[in-house]
Amino acid sequence: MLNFIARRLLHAIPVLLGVSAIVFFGMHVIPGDVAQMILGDKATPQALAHLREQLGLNQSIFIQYWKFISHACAGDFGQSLRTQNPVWQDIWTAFPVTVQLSVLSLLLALAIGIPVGVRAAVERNGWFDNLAMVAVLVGISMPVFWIGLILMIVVGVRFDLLPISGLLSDSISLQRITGMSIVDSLIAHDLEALVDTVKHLILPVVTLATIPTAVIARITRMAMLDVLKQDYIRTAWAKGLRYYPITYYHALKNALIPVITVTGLQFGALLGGAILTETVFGLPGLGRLAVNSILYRDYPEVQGIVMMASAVFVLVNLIVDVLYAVVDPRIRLDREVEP
Amino acid sequence: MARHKYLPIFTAMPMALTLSMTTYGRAATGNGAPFVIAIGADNTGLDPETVMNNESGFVMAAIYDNLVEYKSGSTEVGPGLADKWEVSKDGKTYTFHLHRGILFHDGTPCDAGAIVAWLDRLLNKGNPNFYANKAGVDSYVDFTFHGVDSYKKTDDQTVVIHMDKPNAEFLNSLAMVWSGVTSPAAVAKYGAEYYKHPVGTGPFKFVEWVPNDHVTLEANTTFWKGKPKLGKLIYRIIPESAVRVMELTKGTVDVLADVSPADSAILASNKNVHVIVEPGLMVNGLALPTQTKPFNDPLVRQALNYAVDKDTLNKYLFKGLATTMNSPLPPSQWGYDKTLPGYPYNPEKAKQLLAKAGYPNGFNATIYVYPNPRGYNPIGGATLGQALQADLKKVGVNITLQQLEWGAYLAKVRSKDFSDMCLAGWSGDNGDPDNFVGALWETSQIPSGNLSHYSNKDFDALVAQGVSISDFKARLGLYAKAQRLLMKDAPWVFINYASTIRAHTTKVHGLVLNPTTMFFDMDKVSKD
Repeated sequence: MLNFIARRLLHAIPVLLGVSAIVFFGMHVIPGDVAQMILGDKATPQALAHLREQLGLNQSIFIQYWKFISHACAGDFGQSLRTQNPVWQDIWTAFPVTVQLSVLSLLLALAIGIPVGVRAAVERNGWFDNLAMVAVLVGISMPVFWIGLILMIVVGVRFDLLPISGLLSDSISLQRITGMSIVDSLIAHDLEALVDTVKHLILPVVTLATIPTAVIARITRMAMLDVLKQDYIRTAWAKGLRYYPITYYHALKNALIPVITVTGLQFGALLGGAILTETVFGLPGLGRLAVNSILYRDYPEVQGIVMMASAVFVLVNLIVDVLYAVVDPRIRLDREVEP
Repeated sequence: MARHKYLPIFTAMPMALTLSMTTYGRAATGNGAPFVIAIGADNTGLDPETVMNNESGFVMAAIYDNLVEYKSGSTEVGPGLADKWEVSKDGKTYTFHLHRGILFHDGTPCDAGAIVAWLDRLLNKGNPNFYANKAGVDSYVDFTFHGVDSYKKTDDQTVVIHMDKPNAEFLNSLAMVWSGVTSPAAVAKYGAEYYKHPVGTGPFKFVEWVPNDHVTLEANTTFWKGKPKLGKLIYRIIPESAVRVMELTKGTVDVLADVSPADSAILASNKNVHVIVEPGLMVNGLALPTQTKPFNDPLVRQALNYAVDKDTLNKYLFKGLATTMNSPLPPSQWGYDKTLPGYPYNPEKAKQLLAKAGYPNGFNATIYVYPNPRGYNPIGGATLGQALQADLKKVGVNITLQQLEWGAYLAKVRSKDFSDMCLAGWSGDNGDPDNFVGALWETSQIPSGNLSHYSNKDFDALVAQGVSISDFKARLGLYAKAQRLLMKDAPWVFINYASTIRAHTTKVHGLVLNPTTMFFDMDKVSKD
């Protein structure tokens, strides 16, 4: 197992290198003078020249890339042009917000998607199945941006039940420790802040969870349909077991492999969805940081964010592979090295 | 075997969350609640001389004071930290007499020593905390202080600033939010990190800045002009304009700093919201290549001015949120001459003028446009370009539109050999007339600011005189002449002044929109 993990981590290096090249050259292909974008249309020619000098924009693009890579290998992604902070610091401030949002959304998606998928499979072609699959189609098709605004208008403004943007009400102050508002309010034993931040998170989490919920429900149904046809399930029914033990203990366990795969992939989609969700709901996460940095041509920051997101994605994929072995003992990850 | 017991938890969890929210009330509002201003993007630092973006300015206007300050809602300069000042006859020496007993938020006295220390940080490269020591600094320092060659205190309340040549814009530039006076003690204490720990003398003290989320300020109860009426001031960053509008209608936000024309209509229909609409400190037009045929003939340039139906454009495309230019200065700029007739829409006269200039059948030409909206042109360059194209076609001028992305656009229209028409616009910096007429049409500003390559010796002389004398009345006379001359010479098709729009709930009182859009005089704002 350890061998396997080590090997996979080594595989990550070319992946990250490739990503860095795409991002770096991609950012440089966008038209417009970077120095001009940063300093605005009132900048003097001297100021522009000075900034180009400072950013090394006068050098050839390959030298610039080499400098970026060699610094990045030493863990230094440079300084943000917009916020003037070290890039890692900005990322580290924003990342917990996105992690909290994505993890809660994924949990919600699993909590709803799996039971719905299971029941839809068991009652195949019944009213629940039909209803659920229509809902899944709607869920997959709706743009995140639009769901967010509709939820805001209906739940937040029309019925005035929930706050519509931000992480905490303006009247509440909370010491930032981990950057995850729920964890921080638990650490501070602050019930008021906890309730407040949970209320703030409901709409964005529901918004972000819509697509993964639909995808997970659908894949669970498919996998369950396969498993439910198996002989041992018929045996289970025959020996008189009831609905829950059969579906959740015997069947679901064996249907989980594709669900895990898709969930892992959805985590990547969540990071992408977070860009829209965080912008709509005004949450200070990595997605917002990415958008702001791209609009401002903040190269070092964009590169740092994309590298970070890629690293997370690689890591999630690794966790998914490890989970295969945990869920299904027949899968041996290190079989190749120890035949 | 018993795992199914946990299934109900899956379904109960979201339900429990939903129920819990109804058992707890909304956070307290009304007295003692923070005053919330919604802004669309985060600031990039709160060190006034190292930033140039409005989001930073919005916050800093409440933290800092200036040597001299804009009178409420105007671009005219009045007393600030300095009660009074004198300018020498040659316009080169400024003597400021400081108000007594002012303290920075950190307790440092704001006396002549502090002002000299502040100036030294901006003007002395050898100062250990020189403002431009780090990369990517956006600054008005060169703009404001150009020509300053010495500064000293003559006693604890008096500072003398000397410059090698007169700069009559100086007072107006000192009043900009970008010229806020920083605490020398705090600058020394925080060094390069000062922009995260701003300390001024203003009505509000800095508390915290959570990037991409909010900035919190609290009242400076010992503010030298009197205790502010609000306790806590929060600038919340809400990127989506639709969400900002919803927050304002919900009442969770008190003020929207920027309102788009589209949102303005929605908000105007809400009886709990007050929308402030004023002509902005900005101009929007079409720069004509005055050195190139046929545009080198003033008759042609005047004809094009008559050919564009500005009022209709304002009414339909700008939704009534713009007014027709009748002067190169906007109405909120002191010195603006409201009696100038401008160029009322008159296609017949345009055709006559074109015929007189030798183009009875018109001609073909190109207009360069940018795609995006700008502060002075909220409908975007592409849309405006199409409207101009349609109007000019009616007088026989056939336009080809060339659209370039903003960065590429600037590079193109600011090159020395650029010889086509292009959209031009300007937002004022310091509320001085020179900041419009000088920046946009003086010969020395070719090719970067003066996009029409306009060059007129008489005009240049007026502008040069305007910045070299400090007598207010005499300057008014000079700029009146300059305005008339520009309107006659028509280096631009003068289009319109876009409105500045700000909205607040009807609970808010005393909020005045300064032409520079900054939140000055926040000590006078209150909330029911």
